[in-house]
Amino acid sequence: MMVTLMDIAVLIKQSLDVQELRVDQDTGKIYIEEAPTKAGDIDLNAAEEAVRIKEKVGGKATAIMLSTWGASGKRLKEAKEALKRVLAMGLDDAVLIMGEEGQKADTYVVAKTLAEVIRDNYQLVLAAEGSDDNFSGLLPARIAAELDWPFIAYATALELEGEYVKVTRSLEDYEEIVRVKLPAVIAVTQEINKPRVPKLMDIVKAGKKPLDQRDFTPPSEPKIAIRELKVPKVERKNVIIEGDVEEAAEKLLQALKEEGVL
Amino acid sequence: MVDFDIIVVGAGPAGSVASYLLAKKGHTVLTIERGKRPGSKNMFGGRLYAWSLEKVFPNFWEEAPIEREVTREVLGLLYGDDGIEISLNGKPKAKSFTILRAKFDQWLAEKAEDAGAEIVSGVKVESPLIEDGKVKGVIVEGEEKIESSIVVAADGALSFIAEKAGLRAKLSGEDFAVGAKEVIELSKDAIEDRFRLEENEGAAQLYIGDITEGVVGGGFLYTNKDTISLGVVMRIGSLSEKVSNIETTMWNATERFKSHPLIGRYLKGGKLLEYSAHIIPETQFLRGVKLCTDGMVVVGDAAGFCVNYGLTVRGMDFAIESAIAAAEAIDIALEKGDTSASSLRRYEEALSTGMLREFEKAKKAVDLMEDQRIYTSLPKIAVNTARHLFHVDGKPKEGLYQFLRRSMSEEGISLLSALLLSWKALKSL
Repeated sequence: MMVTLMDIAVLIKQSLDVQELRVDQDTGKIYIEEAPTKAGDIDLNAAEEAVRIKEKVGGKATAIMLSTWGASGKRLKEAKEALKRVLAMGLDDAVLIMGEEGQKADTYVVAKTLAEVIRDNYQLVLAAEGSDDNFSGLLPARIAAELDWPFIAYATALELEGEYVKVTRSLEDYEEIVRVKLPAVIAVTQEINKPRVPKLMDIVKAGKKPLDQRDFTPPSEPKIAIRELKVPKVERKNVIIEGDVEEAAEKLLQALKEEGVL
Repeated sequence: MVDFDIIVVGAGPAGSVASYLLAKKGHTVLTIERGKRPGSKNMFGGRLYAWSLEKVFPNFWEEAPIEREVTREVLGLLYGDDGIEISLNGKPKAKSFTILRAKFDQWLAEKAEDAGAEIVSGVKVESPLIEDGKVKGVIVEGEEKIESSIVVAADGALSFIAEKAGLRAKLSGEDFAVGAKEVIELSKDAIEDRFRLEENEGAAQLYIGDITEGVVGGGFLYTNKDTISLGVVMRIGSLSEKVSNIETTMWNATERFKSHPLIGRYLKGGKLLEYSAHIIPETQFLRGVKLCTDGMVVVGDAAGFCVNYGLTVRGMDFAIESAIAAAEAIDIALEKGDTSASSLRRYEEALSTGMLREFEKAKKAVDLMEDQRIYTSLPKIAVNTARHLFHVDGKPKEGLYQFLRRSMSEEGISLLSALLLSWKALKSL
C-alpha cells in the first residue's frame, strides 16, 4: 500500500436538518423535500477527531460525502455548504459523490460505492455512530465489510500507536479498550470530543479548499427500496378536566394514577 | 492590508443588494449573516414594491421566487362582526409582489454570491471594530477581528452595529411597532376563488378596527401561491400605554382578526403552517439616525427605513433603494481611497432627493396614523353609518346628516375635528 503514514477518510452524511422537518399531524406526511440538509452532528465529532490526529501525527484528512438527494441545485448547494463546514474545521479536501441515481441508493449501494473510493487511498476511516436523520448506524460496518477491514463501533477515545490504533469503546455497562492494526473503520460517539467552532476566516478559506465532485453511478442494484415514510400516529384520549384549580388538580392526579403514569 | 474591501453585516434585502452591487464592481465583499441561512430570521408582512429592485435586476419577477403579482388592493374597516371592504381591482403600472422571505432572501443572497461576494451564515457579529474613532472592520463571536475598508450595517431593525458605532441612540420600545404573522396553507384554487384572482394574481388587504382594541395598528392579509400571510401590527408605544402583557394582546388581536367573520371566510379550511413575530422600526427615521461615519454606512431597517402610510406599508423597497445608493457611494469612496464620513456622505445626499424627502412627507401620514380615533371611532362610525344607510324596517329613518352628527358626538368628535382629520388625511396621502 503506497500511502503516506496517515491518510484519514471522514465520512460526512448530508443529513436532514430534523429540527426544521415539518410534519402534517393529520396525514402523517413528512415534508422531506422542503426541509434543508446539513452535515450530521456526530459527523462533526468524526471530523474533529481527524483534525486532532492530523495535528498530532501529520498526514491528510479528506471529507467524503455521498449525497442521496438527487442532483438538484438546492441539494448540491447544501452538500457543498456541509462540506465547507468540516473543511473549515481543518480537513484538507473533500470528495462529493452526487447524482440522480443517488435517491434510490440504500446502505448497501452507498457502502459499496464508498468502499471503492476509500480502498487503496486511506488507512483510517472515521464515521459517526449514526446519522441525524435515520440513525441506522449500519454504514461504517458495511463499508468495513466491503473493505474486509476491522470495524470498531462506539469509540469514545482514540490513540494512534504507530501502525496500531488504541480505541476506547463505551459499551452498555463497561468500557472496552481494544487495539487494532490499521487500516480500520471506526465509528465514533458524540462523547469522543467537542467539535471546534471554526473561525470565520477559516470558513472563508474553506471555500477555496479542493472539492472533487464526482458523478454517482450505482455499482449495483439496491436491496431495499423505501415505499413510504410516515409519522407514527399517536392516539390522544382528549380528556378535558374542568372545575376550579384544586378540584381539577385532584382529578388530574386521579386520572394520571388510573393510567399508571404516576 | 485589509481582509476585505467591504464587510456587509446581514444578508437581508439591503445587505444582499449592497453585496451584489459591490462584488459586481470587483470589490472583495464578505457578507456575514447571523441566521442559519439568508432569510431564515427575516420577516415582513408580505409585499414588495418592485421599483427599487427593478433597477438592479430588470424584470426580476421572471426569475425570482415571487408568489403573486398584486392586482387587488383592499382597505377594510371592521367593527363588531360587521365590516366594510373597499377594493381596487386591476393591473397597476407600478408592480408589486407578494413574497415569502425565506425563499426570496435566499435568492437575493445567491445573486450576491454568484457575483463574487463571500457569504458566511450562522455567525454573529459582536460589534464594529473601532480604532482611532474609525470603523476598521468587525469583531465576530470568538473575539475574531476581521478588517475591511468599509462596513455596511444591514443588520435589521435592532442594528446593534449602528448603535455601537454611535450612529443611532439606544432606542426604546416607543420607536417600534411589533408584528405577529401567520402563514396559512390554502389551495391555489381556493385562494383564486375567494379573492377573485386570476392565476398568479394576488391580493393585498389592510384592515383597521376594534380588532386592536384601540391600540394603534391593524391587520394585514396577503395572498401567496398556496398560502396566505396574515397578521397584526401594533405600535409598541400605544400598546404599552394600554396593556400590561404585549404578547397576550398581540395573540388576542391576531385571533380576533382571524375569527372576524369577514376574514374567517377567506381562511376556512386553511392550515396553520408557521407563525412568527418581529419588531418593525416604524417611527425611527423621525429620530435622527446618522447614515454614515468614518468607514461605515447604515442601510435598510437598520437605518429605520420603514414607513406605514396607512394605505401602503413599506420597508423592503426602501431597504433596497438605500443599498443601491450606499453601494454607489462606497464604490466611489474606494476608488478615491477616501472612506471618511465626508466621502461617504454622498450616500445620504443621493437619498435626500428621493427617499428621504418622501420620509419628510410621510411624517404627516405617520402623525395622522398615530391619531387613535382612526382605529376606534372611524371604523365604528363608518360601519354604523353604512348599516344605517342600508337599514330597512318599514319605519321612518333618521336623516344621514342627523345620524352622522349623533354618531360623532357619541364618539366625542366634533364636526370641526372631523373636518380637520379629513383635511390632514388628504394632505398626507
